[in-house]
Amino acid sequence: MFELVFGQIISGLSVGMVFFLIAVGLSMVFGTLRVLNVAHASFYMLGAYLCYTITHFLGPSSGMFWIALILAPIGVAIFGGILELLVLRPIYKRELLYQLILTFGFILIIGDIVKLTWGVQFYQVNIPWPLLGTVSFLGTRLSYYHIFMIAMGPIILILIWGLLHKTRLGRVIRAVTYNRDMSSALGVNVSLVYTIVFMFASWLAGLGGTLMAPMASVFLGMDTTVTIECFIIIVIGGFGSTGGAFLGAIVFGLANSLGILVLPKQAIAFGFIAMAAVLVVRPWGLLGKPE
Amino acid sequence: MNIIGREKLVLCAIFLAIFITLPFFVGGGWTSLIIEMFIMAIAATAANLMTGYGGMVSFGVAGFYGAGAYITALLITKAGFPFGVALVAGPVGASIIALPIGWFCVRRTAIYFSMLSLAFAQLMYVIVYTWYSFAGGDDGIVGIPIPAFLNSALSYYYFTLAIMVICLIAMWIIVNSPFGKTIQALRENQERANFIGINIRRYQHAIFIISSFFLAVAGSLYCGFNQNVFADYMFWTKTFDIIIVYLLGGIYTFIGPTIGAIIYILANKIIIRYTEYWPIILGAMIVFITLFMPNGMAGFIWSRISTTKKQ
Amino acid sequence: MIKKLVTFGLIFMVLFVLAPLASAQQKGLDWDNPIKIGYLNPFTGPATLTTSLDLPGVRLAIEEVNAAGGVLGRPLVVVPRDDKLNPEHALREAKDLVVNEKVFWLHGVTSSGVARAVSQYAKDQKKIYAISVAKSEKLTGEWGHRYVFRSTNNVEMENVGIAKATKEIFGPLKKIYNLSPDYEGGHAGWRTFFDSYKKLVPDAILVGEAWPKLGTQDYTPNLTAVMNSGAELMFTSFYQADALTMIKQSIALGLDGKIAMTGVWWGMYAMCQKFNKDFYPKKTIGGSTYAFWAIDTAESKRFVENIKSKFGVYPEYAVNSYAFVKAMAKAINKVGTLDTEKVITALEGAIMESPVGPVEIRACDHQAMWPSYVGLIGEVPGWDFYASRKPIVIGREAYPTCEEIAKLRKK
Repeated sequence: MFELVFGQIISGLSVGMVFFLIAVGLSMVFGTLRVLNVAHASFYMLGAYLCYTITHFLGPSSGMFWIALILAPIGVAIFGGILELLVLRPIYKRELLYQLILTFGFILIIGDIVKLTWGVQFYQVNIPWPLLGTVSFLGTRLSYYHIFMIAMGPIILILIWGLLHKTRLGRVIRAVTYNRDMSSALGVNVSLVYTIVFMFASWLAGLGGTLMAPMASVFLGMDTTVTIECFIIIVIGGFGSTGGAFLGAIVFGLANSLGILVLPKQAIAFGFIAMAAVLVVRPWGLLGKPE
Repeated sequence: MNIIGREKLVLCAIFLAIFITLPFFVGGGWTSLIIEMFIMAIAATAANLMTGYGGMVSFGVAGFYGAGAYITALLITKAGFPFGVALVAGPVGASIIALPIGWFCVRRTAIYFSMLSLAFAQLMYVIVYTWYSFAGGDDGIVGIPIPAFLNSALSYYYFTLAIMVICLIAMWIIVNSPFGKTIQALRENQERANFIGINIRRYQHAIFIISSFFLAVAGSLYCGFNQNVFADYMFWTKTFDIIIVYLLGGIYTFIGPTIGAIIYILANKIIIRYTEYWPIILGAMIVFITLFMPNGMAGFIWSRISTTKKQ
Repeated sequence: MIKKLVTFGLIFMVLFVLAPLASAQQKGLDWDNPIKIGYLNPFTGPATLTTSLDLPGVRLAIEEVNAAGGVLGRPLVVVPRDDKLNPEHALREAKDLVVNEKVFWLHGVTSSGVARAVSQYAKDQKKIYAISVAKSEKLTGEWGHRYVFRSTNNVEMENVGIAKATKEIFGPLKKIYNLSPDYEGGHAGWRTFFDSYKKLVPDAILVGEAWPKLGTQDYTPNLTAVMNSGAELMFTSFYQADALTMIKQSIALGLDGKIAMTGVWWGMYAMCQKFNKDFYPKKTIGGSTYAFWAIDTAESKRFVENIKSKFGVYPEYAVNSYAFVKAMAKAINKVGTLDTEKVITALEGAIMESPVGPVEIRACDHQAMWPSYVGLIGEVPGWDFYASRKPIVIGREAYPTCEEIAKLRKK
């Protein structure tokens, strides 16, 4: 029984970490730019496709995955930056509703760009060579790649925390998040900060996609499989809170994987129940701040 | 009758005349298309009661739309109810569901309201989706029988047209009534309304339920039109369809959502004839209209007409 | 510069304007008035490979039919639409195809849930609908009717063979875990397997089951549950992208090879093309609709070559659709008019000439009596992918009898 629960915990955490990577970017963009980018998951999908292309560039090679891990998220970040500069800027002052619809338009556009570029086939990326195989632990088998995925979560969390709290850029970002107008009055180039944050968020989502690719399949429509889940996570964790996204992702991942043991069919309901519960009781989320 | 200006009344009469005679000029394919426009017009106008008039953006509108459809479908197929009864029971049932859900939702504002309405709608989706034996799950319910006199595109066209006219008139009366004016006042300034002693929550709750009622009418009509119902009718992508429609048309006019429905469905059907890459075109259209026509097409046209009139 | 433009323009004209005109005149067919096939299948989502292995069969058949004089002097033309593996979308497209494009028959669909909805629509509209991929036995069983045909085999007869192969290859395993997608196709896969398997191993029991949605990206919670359930055999009716994800995760978790697996559609070329020495499910049995790698007839080999050279893929369902479209053309030509009722009568009992031999379209349920192929996934000598080796062939005796069908439909 323990092995069963432990195994579920591990698999819940590993997927949770990928969700964290996607959700935290979404949360940062909302916190700083005050924009809810529903197309954020499209960056995740783009990252996965880029990962496939890079790992197969010189013929299928799992060694290339490490190169993809570096290049693919950067590619997505560049794409995100261009999008932000060209199309997102005009609507910063507009209401939530318009941002939503505009970014929903992005989902359609990016989806077709992917279709035009890669076609309708679905693709496989192999687990990279050093991480193949499993290890026996506490009576259950753990895959090395799962452990890698779980490890990436805290690493990125520390990276983000370090960026926000230990660098000058981070201080500026936090200032803009706290009070945009004051920061602008003090001479901060708010537009540049926005672009940087948006690119960073895209980078994170692309990283999530790259990490997920060896574990799953790369296909059109994979963005819609994570969109709603990300909303659930940032609601539970708290909009704009990095730690909240981390906590929310863990809660969500575990609720899912442990829920399968208890009520397999209804497991997908748990996320929404948690989401509704948080909104009713404590709308700013577990680690968010009341506005 | 001072609830509607004479100009607008004449315009409505003209359009009504056009819609009544249209089927005789266009083919069967178009008739089906226009029925879809009517149904979407009801749904979008209903959703806009909350957004444009009430200032509350609900991401859960598909939930009530789908609820109407499912209640109608289940009553006909599982309980043998006649179509007419099931059609009425759909919106009534959805309103009952909207009572508790609305109560919770209106206690939150802005994005929290939106997210909570989304959560409830998705929960409804999950219930329907996982209850495979009862509600058909991913396969939905197909082959729902409708009365013989409605069994042709033409007759369903007039049926839907009649219901749409009734619904639009009803919603028009509501938004122009003292109740409706209060709702709009709440959108503008909640503090002042509070000061006057209005129970904000009660009003918002009421408009939530009314909106859900008419959303469900649209859903039930759609169920009868296609003679089927699928879990997707409740999924968030359907909510976005409806939101796009009322934004395209313009949320600050009553007729905006209806215009948006016409444009959206036309665009959908026409673009797909020419290319399989319609999402990118639709996406580009949405981006364009959001950036350059913030008041939607209706607002855009209206402001153009107004400027020419002023000259 | 002007000279170059003129030359280019002339070449352009010749290629794109005159050539089609010329070829049309060559065939002497009435290209302004084609007979249209409304083709529905997923072009997006986790199951697009069936489309790419099916549509070429339709296209090849159309080419041959048109070269031989067309249908009633008119060319056959296919109008493909994306059903997105979703009944609502499929119906919208079906309606457009029937009402606006005025297709003569509807063809396709991978998901049994979608097929059911389209079948219902075809019945209402009195249009012929040929199911080209969807496998639920109910589609030609209790939900069958006059207007629906199936150009491929169905999962009930597939599972007769799969249950048999499972027992023969793995022995009479008793504890089974079922991990299948929660929709009609997934349910059909499981119930027909368990029905057949229980006939062979009466004390087989289900030690656990889970029904994730199609398109699920993460099966690890389910797979760990399988690992800890004490199951000896895992059954799944997941396929294509989802199944590949599942296999990856099963290998990552170390489940692969530990317990026996039966993937009812894992022998399909759609999936097997991704299998190779470094990546394939071990100790797994899979079923296929057209195990061309194991069929030695000259006809079959020629067909495979044809499809490969013209469309760049190997055929799977293409062989079924190819035979059916040709049979349709033949039936319409025989009847002499585009009369749906008369064509249906002509199709009932018709024998299709196919690359695997003659196949009958059975009159009582409009089910094409195709065989099925089942085997253990492994190396296939002479080919660069892994698939079901030395598959056993299950023939028409595995289909339910006409009496059984009649009884089901009466209910």
